Amino acid sequence: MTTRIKELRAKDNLTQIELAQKVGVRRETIVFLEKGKYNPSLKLAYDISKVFNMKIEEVFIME
Amino acid sequence: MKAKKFAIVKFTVAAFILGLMGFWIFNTTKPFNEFAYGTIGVMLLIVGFIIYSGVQALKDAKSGLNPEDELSKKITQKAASMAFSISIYMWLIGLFALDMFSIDSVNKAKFVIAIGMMGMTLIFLFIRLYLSKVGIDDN
Repeated sequence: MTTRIKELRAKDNLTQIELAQKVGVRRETIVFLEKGKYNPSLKLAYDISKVFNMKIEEVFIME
Repeated sequence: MKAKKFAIVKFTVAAFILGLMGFWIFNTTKPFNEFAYGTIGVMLLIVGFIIYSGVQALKDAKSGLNPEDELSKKITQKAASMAFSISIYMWLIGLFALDMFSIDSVNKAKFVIAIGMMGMTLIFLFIRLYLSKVGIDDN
């Protein structure tokens, strides 16, 4: 699974810490998500997509 | 607030371990051998790890982050399960090795149990640290 978190974060001028604060996780979790080294729970995926006003499948892409 | 409590619990545990260790060091009448120094080293390592994770939790809380998020919980769970599996093999090998020696006193039995428990703790700590560096690839 790949994610567009880094790209969307840059577009919205959000830092990793700011995104982590918005979705209630640590910065390291965002780092691992961006590197594709962690598959989030459905709730976290939903929360992140909500921050970017997008659907889950637009942020997290299954290969 | 929850994160602060979490950090306070960690610091209390670290202080309790240090206190017990200090009590043992100042009350023992026997001279220290290699095993005693090894035990002190392992205990300091454990206390260091607990203090480090407490400080990290406070830092996260200060930045408005959740120190006990889903990834850190998963890492702890995975580290615990992996450490348990590895510990089974460690005890199995230990039992075979012990067959070569006779355990004829309570002190020798205590020594074996202490080494096993410290080994299990170290295995857990190293796996926990490793997973927090590389993440969980749970595809």
